[in-house]
Amino acid sequence: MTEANFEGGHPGTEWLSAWHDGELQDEAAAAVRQHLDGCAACRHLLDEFRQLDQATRLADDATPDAATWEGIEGRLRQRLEDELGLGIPVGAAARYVETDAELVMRPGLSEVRGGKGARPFRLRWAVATAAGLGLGLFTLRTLSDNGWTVSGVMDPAARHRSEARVPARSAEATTASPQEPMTDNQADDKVQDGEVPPVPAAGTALPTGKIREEAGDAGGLADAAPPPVVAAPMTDSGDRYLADVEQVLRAKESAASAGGAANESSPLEKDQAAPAAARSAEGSSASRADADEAKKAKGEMSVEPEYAAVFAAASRARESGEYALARRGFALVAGAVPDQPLARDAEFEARLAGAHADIVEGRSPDAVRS
Amino acid sequence: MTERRPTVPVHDGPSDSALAVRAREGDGHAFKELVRRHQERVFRIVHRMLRDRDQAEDVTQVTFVRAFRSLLKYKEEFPFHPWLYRIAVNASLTQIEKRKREKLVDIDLVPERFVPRPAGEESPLEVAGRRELVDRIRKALPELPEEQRVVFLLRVDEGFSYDEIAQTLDIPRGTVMSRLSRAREALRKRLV
Repeated sequence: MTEANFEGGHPGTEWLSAWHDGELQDEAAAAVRQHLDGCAACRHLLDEFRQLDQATRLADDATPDAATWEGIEGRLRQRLEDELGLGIPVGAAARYVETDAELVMRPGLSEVRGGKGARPFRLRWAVATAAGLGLGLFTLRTLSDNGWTVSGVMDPAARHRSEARVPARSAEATTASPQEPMTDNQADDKVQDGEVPPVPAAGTALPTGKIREEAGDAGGLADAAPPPVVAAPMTDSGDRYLADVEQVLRAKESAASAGGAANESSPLEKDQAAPAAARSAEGSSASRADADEAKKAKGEMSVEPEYAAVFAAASRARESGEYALARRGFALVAGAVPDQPLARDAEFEARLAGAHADIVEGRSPDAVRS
Repeated sequence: MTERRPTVPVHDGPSDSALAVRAREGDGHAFKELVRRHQERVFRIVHRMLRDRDQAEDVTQVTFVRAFRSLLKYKEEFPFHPWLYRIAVNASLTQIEKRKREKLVDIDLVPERFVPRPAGEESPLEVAGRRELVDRIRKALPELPEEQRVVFLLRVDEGFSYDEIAQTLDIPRGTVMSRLSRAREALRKRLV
């Protein structure tokens, strides 16, 4: 590329503009530079380009002063928080810090409503949130009426401790005195580990070990080790929830594999179909397994602590806005122990998580699916 | 040759691309940091195009919301800021078109309390001449066709390279070159 290639003997506005911006390739740039050495007109044009650039930058009245920008930034922060549920930090405090405790963002976004539409959208959001809270309170109340405590729902360890007396389908089912014969309903709500101890009064929570002591030698149960509790650490990370759920699933699969390789069904189905086998793998006695089978025949099955842990993890996921993960966890529980009240709770919680997801994502902001 | 400003301010911590990936995976802190890093530049670009502060605020918010919703489309092997600014430019152009249809806004509005950038030492005559030039530029810029104006502002105001402009606007590099030269020619003729 040389000056000879210049049409009319000059590089032209486009070439000069690119040279002015430093965007010409080496060969072309060298040719232009050589031309400029001997062409005042082109040098004058470049000077005009420089003045234009300078004046444009000086004419930049889009850069607000600090006070004005503070107002703009504040309004931007508020609007993004309304639309996305994000709190936008300000200034130095906002500097990104690598941390394990990641804030889980609400999934999904609504349509951008802009200034005028934002208010109706926020109103719908408020109504939907109130509806969701109402349903959440109803859920807790229902669980409480059925013998669950808030701590039981949230803390798998506490839930496991209350396993001995729950689930009770109705509070009155536990009120029978030891001297009175139990009705069928009360028999259905016996302690999950197959013992026939004195039925505790309503609201009384006895740890598994204590019941075993009181039960005496009910088929060797006193010597049986309590079922292992798979800890579901309460974390704030959606990834950790997923890890909790997967950990429990792997534990179940391992137990099922150890208990009965003949069964070709899925790990969860194996667990449902051969609870005795699973319990054997956990060190339960044959008589206990028989008691479990008897209970299953009556339509009840003990809620194993693993699924309580999954339920708790799914609940935490839902509270953190991990609705898809929560629904997976609840679905896992509902599918694993379909005969248990926990499954009904899990199904309800899954629908609630789905409704929350709909609200957040703007699909049905003012309705909760029943 | 024109001295270029850095196109992307230097930040401590992860790169914009890394933050975008994390934001896409649900990391709220990451998206917040991206907003913090780019909100002022986005606002400036948008305002330069719209010449109206209220509308610039609206469109800035629209830009980040759309960016959040479009994170799945962002490819981390490419720089983040052209992708973001493309959203800003498109949102601004949409607003301009809307304004034309509605004929609502005087695009020569100059927002209050804005402070021009400081200049170097010059003689009084040069200062007066420059001040007049600045005023005339301010009036001339809005009259440029949008496609020329946005290319010109991205280059001169934001210091984008031709490749960055091409990436931001999703146009060939040659088109950037020609639109920029036409913008300069148009402004020259207007100011003569």
